[in-house]
Amino acid sequence: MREISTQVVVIGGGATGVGILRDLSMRGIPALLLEQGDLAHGTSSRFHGLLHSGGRYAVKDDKAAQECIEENIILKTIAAHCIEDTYGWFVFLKGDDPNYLELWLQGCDQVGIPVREVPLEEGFRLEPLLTRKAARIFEVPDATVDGFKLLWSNVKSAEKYGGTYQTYCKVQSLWLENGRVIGVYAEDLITGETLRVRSEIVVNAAGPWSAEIAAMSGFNVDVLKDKGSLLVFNQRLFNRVINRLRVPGDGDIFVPHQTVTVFGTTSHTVELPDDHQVDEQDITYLIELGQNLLEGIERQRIVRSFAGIRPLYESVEDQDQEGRGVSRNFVIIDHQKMDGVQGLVSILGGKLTTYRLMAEKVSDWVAAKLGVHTACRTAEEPLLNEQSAEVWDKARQLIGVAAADKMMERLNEQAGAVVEAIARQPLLGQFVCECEMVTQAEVIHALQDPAVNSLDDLRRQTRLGMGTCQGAYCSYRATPMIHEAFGGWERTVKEYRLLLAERWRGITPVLWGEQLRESELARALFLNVLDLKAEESEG
Amino acid sequence: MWDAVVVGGGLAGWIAGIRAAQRGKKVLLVTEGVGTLFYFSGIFDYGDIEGLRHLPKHPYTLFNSEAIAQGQHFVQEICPEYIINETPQSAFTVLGTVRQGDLMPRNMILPDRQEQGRFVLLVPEGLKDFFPEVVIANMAREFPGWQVSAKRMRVDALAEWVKLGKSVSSIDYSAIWRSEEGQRVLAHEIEEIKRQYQVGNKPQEKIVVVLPSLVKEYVDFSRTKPCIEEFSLPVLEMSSFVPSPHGRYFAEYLKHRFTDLGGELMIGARAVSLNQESPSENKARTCQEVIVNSKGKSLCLKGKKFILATGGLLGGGIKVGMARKSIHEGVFDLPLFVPKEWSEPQFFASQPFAQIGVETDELMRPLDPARGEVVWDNVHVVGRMLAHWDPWTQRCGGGVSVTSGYVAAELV
Repeated sequence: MREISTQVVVIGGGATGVGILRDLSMRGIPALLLEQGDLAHGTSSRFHGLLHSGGRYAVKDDKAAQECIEENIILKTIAAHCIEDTYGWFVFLKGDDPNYLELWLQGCDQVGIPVREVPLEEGFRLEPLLTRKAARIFEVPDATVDGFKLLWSNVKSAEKYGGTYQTYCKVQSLWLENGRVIGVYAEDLITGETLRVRSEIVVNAAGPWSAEIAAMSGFNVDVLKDKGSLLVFNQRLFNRVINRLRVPGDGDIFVPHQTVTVFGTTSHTVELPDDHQVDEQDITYLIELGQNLLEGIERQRIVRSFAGIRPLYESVEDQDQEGRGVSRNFVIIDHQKMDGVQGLVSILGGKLTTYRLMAEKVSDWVAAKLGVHTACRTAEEPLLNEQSAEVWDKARQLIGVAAADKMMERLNEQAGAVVEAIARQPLLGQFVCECEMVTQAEVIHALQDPAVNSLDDLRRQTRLGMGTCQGAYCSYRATPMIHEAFGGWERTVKEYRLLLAERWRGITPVLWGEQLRESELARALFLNVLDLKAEESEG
Repeated sequence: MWDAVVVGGGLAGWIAGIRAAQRGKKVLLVTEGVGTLFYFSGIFDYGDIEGLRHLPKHPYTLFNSEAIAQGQHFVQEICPEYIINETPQSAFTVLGTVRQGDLMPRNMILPDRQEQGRFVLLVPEGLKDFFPEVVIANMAREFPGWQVSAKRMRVDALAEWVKLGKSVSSIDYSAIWRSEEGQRVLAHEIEEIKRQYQVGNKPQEKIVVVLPSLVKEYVDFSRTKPCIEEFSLPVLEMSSFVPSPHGRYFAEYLKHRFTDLGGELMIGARAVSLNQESPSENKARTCQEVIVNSKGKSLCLKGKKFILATGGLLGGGIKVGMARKSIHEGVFDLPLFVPKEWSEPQFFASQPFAQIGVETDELMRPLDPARGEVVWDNVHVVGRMLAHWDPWTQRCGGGVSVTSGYVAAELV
């Protein structure tokens, strides 16, 4: 058993967890983050990628709306590289409830969400696919955010301040002594080694797994696990976030994301924190609802589906509510007050848009407990350092403007080494993933990171495999790199299989049209051209 | 009026067209695109024919062994570089692993593993989607008794391009290998290899040069006229990745074979519907003409027989709409067998959706699955349009397509 000690253990490598890690590190508090999978494998990557303006909550949940608009403004400054400032529209359809419209405008006004009415003619010109049933259009500062990039930027920034993290390390139990949590026991899932971490405070930021973590020591936290399913279309159907202006419900948000569009969501309470299975009924239901904003949606190509679990906090007054009715606010639970045990705090609820604020509040609490008086700086200090203009220019010359910009955002100050590698050996500038324009040199670089243990981890770092081919071409093109990094052919084949299996889970619920054809092509490539062996079917 | 109108220019369509033309029939082949031949590895798989014939309704149950053998011989007849063997042969995949195949070009067939020798992999500079380190490691693993080494090479014409970091597709390289300059460069490289490894008086080692994207077959009819120069060492072709040089030249070759036999060709035309004789009760109908959209014009093409070779899901002959609410065959609107379970949780498993297609009688005429009756009297369905098979897990893609195309041509 390996033993380490630190001041704070943060459980959970989602947005909240990495936000806390960064915040504590910036305040000079030694902290270690433990994550059972890869960073962002849970809710933080399984959402629509919308940076809320607060508009969605303006009527029912003014506190959440207020937090959203404030954080929206902050994140657009400190995390500009993770955000595409698309703006968003709230579209009021003919026949929708005019009373709600009035309440919404009042709500936005009260919490300070800037609203501009877009003339219909301009609206249809800018978004040609928008339904002609639109009666009024209002623009708000919604934007889109890349959850993976945001998380990686946070941990990389935290590392610079001395913060540490370990992925694929699953907390097995809390270490209790004399009514105090003094650390955790965890298992390194890669080596199988047990880890004992001594700490003064343990922060439970495990999102949908929070209840499981608390329950390890018999504590109860009320997390409502609310599953939302989403669809990914193969292109940008809209250039702005498109919301429906009505009581928030299912299937009323389209979010353009890089080269695709994400559309959702649904809401069902589930039992398991990793119930990511998408039901075919949900898909037909979503498509039906999507018709309201995008007529002819059934002719568009769906690449895949996915689902995430919203870890909603169910306060006493929310007890009778279903998922949509529960507040999007967050709550910090001091287990000393609740359960009489010191050294443990849980953070529940909230939204990705408010991750920084949640991290700030938790870190304030932790700092106060530890007697540290440094103030929070995460609202001012950008996640990304100023880029070297020289490196940027050189990258653009070597691999082109669009590819260079994407790479610089992903790699930040580490881009220099990758650019040098391409300059020395220009063929390393070939793309492994054409959708995300990921070069061979970048893949080689990413594979040197000890946190990248699989092709699927590589996907989350680079977005490789997330485009139209769903890994069919880019996993093949990553062959020489994974062969070298992971050692040999058998492992390479295993990585193909794991990545394609992971992608397949999201494709099977939407297996029709051009994506079905693409899947036949992928099968032909792997089973015939590359001659991999077929698997016995389960049935 | 044609004796046969073949709809679809993939493997099954071409085989049907060429065989029918060879039999002296007046044949028209209508195709929208180039089919899926551009994914062709260069190898025909027949699979475990006897085993597959035990599967109820598998296309192989429609053919006797004689027909299957005739189809194989027909491939060899039109393309003599393909060798028929009692047992399957082996070739290198593009990753240097060994794959079996039932019918492959002479130049692809691997030497005996029991022998000793040396492979020298020629690595053309900047070849896209080709990974020499992996290939070498795999070749060494597959042939433990053999030495494996690599020799990098460049072609002057591409030197500046590659220096910029631009890759070269295998299609481009294969075109270079067919040019005079390419042949000269290859001959020179191979001569150097020979000098390097056959020095002094040490016992002669068997040396085999391995070269990706070399396509030596499909010569006479492809009109791309490669030199037929023999090299000073045996040269082994690797099977193709996509886009496939083998597929490209094979498609070209088949096209010329067909037109040289008097076949008529219409490319870029999409068959969309048909006209029929006024239907009578309880009798299979006869199709009189298909309607084809081409360059904004609609044409009616009359034929005695129609061969449907539109390539199933991958080829585009079967369209599956959103949420699978609509599934249809695009030309004749034929009834389809649609499996109830659609997919398996493992990606590499045999997928139920692959079984989708047209059920036929033993003459490959479409059946109505509900009533079991022939729908069209003069329509024959071939290749991937047939139901109840999976070419990728059953490894019989070439076998079913060649045989069904050949047999359909015999029915014209």
